[in-house]
Amino acid sequence: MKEITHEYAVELFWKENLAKQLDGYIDGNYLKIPDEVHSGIRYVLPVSPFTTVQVIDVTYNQSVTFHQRNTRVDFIGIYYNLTEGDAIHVIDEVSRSVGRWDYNLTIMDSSLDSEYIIKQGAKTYMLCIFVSKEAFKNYLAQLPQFQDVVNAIFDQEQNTFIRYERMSNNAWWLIDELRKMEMDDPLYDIFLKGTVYCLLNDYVEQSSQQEILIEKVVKEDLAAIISSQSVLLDLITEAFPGISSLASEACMSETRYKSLFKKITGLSPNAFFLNNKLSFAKKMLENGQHSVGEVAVHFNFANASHFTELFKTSFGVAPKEHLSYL
Amino acid sequence: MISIRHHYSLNPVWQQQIANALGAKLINDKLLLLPKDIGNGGSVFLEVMPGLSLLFMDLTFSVPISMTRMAANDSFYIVYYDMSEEISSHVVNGTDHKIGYQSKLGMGFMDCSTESTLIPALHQRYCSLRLFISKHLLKSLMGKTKPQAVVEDLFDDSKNTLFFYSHIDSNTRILLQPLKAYSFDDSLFELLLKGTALKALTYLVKRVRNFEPIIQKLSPADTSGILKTAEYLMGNLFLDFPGVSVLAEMAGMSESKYKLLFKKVVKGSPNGFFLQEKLLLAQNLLQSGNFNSIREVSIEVGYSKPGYFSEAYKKAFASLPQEIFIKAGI
Repeated sequence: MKEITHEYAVELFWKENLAKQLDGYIDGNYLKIPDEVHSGIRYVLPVSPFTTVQVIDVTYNQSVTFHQRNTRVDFIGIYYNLTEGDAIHVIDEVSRSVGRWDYNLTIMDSSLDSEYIIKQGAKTYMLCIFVSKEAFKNYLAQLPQFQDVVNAIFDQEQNTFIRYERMSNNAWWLIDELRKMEMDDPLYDIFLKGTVYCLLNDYVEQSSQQEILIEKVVKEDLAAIISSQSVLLDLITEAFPGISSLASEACMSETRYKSLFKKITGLSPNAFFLNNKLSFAKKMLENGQHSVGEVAVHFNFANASHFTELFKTSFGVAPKEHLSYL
Repeated sequence: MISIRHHYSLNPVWQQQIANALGAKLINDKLLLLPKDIGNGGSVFLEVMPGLSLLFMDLTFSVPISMTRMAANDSFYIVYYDMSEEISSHVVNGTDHKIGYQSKLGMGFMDCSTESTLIPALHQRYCSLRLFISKHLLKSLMGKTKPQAVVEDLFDDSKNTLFFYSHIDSNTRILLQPLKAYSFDDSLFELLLKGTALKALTYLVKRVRNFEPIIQKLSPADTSGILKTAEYLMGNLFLDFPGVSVLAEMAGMSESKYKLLFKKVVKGSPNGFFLQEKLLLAQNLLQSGNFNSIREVSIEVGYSKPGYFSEAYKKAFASLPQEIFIKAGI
């Protein structure tokens, strides 16, 4: 078990210490870390004077505890975390498990100390976005419901900015596309910056729908909804299983199930299911191995034209058209 | 008709000239709002990163206007994405209920040293994204897909003109889709615009890397000749292919030069381009719900034998017309 103490910031001075703590060194934008600690890539890129991003795409070969102790208190960290395996985040002695099917989006004030414990064998894909509070405040102040409270939210005396959330479906697909880009291509930096801007836009948009905020939901309910989401994703090629069976599986009434699902994901179960179905179908089409008809059958759409219609509503172009312009 | 002459630059300075000419309000050096007596809407200009700026226009003019962008001695490229529908169909009066189709190329890539004129249609929403990309940035993003000597030649102004017109590729279309729904005085929109510009640049470069490098200077007469014939082809998709010799004459150049330059600018041979456009139109018509049979559609786009049409369609899209056909009246 390795224990390290490090910090982050919008500026880049922390890179060297982090690399050293992990027994590695800095090489341009990369942090080169030996395989004994983790294999894979750590990459840090300034996006704008107010924003920096770190991409972590690694497999941990030993357990590591990160103690985050920031000396700069002027930024917010936004962590999109797709970890498979055990990862636990501890703040004020309350631990939350983070990663792909639990909370996968954490927003945290840099003034907070936190411990992040990650177990050997865990595979992590994570985007850490550091945004200056001033810039972040400006974004949030655009939303009507934040206008009166935005100063209070960012006033350290009154409030600490922290949230554990589920990333939106849109964010998930934004990151999925980024993961397909090759890192040694000079275009990678451009695309990464573009993705960061789109994620920030998506996050603030989501915040405007209060339903996505999950602090008010008790832990058991959250677990039930999240496992229900993964059930839906496992059934993605089938027809929609129906609210009644989903609700009974989650041990809730139908009304409660529907409202909680919406609160946590921002979408109704059916819309969540359909959105994902269409995104997976789009991916399958793009592989070029299957016709529109075959894809429609594979994902259990009533027929090709029904699929075409839904695809067009969702993406703004018909599937054939999408392929012919690809 | 109000005629405006203006120029673009990578920094926000150029906007003042247009604002003055239109009597428009310029806010924070990035937001330009049309005065009500000219039209609705306006534009947003943002510097995204060194070497990349964007201009988003969403406006509807209520008086006739023509905007001519003058050639600049600067060192950047301009990419246009026109976000209105790419195929428009309208009924042409008189000629035995013949429906006319005009498809257009929604994307253009040009050097800022060329001049171009925009005449937006009256009372129609004009929605477009433009990227200004410095030559230095674009060159640095070409990667290792072409030998360095070829890249050098491509970007050497004394040997080559980078210029093309095309349809917007599908990834970019999906990317641009949400922009239309925003009101642009929203500062969240800035985040989305910047993200969109960077991602669009990525898709653009990936595409440009795959183009066959045709190193050739283009004169303004060459470009307008090629574009004239491309436009002619797109406006006459129901005819048979007129033949390269007719087109070359229309463009005022030799056949061999015509074929080469057509390929450089439109990224396909004249005949291949014509066929592809025909079939894209057919695809559109098949889904329009305006026809009783596939036979009708095939005749509409100039195929007298439906079997031959289906074959060509299958070759182009790897599926049969009946898979997407929507019959009239249901």
